[in-house]
Amino acid sequence: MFINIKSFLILFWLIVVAYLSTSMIALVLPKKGIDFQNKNAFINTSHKNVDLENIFLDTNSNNNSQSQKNIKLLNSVTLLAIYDLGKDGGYIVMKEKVSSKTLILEKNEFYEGYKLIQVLKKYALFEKFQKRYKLPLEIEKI
Amino acid sequence: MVIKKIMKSFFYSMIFIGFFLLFFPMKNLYFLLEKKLETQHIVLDGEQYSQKLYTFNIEKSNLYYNNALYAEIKNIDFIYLVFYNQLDFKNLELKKDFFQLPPMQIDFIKLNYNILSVTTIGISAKGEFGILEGNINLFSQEINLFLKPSSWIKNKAGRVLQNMKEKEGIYSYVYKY
Repeated sequence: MFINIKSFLILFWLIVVAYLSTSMIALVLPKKGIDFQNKNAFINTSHKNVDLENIFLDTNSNNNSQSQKNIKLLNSVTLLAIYDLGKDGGYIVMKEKVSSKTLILEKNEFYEGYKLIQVLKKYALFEKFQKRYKLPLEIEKI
Repeated sequence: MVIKKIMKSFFYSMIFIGFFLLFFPMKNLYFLLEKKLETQHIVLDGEQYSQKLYTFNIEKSNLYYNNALYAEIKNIDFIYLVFYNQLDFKNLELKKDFFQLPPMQIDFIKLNYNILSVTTIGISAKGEFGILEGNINLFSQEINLFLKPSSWIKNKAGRVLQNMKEKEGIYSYVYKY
């Protein structure tokens, strides 16, 4: 008979080895994937740096100054006009410096991978790979 | 005797491969793929994963390139048997222009690989563009595509068809990589 005790034991060990080897592989492989929303979260949850003694102190001013330092200028385009529609949205009109092409961009839309995240009175704020880019309004002299 | 031994070892190796694939952590492998793709600025963001018997399923996933949403895919099925493997994208919606193709709805894209044709991966797709059949030849490093275009694609993206050879209403394209 083909399936005897010896064969059964071999089968049992094959299953055990298969299970153990896949478990070893699982240990090496990453446990978490990439979440697009977390990856591009506007606020970075740096919970590891929370100081419990100063938990009730206002830390917004520090965060703002820190984020201001990270802002770079977007040089490839010129901002021509801003239509600020408050919190819900806004539009900007900009011109590409190389091609002189005029573009209209709505809040949360992308330009060359840069996401328009904020439309303010004097400038527009873009974000790309967690870095912010400022595009100031250029007032052309007549 | 020898044949019996060969048969036995073949049987045991099949059993081992079967259980190895059954226990294989496909979810973690998928996470590794996500991380590799991220280095190319591609993010495949799946919401729900499930691993059934030799099938890994991802539901409601979005494909981003350079932070811009390129496609929404309702269902991705990956069937991984040793003799037959299939990657099936169902209900895919292109959100942006992709290789001169306009945004469109694609019913399915299937990639098949079976042991009977070791050097080729079969491709079949259906959508607003029409019906597409083809194959990837791993040996000659060629992608052969045969498209039966819909009137929609003829109107929307005639430029794409101009780059293809036409014979009796079937457009063909060969790409060497």
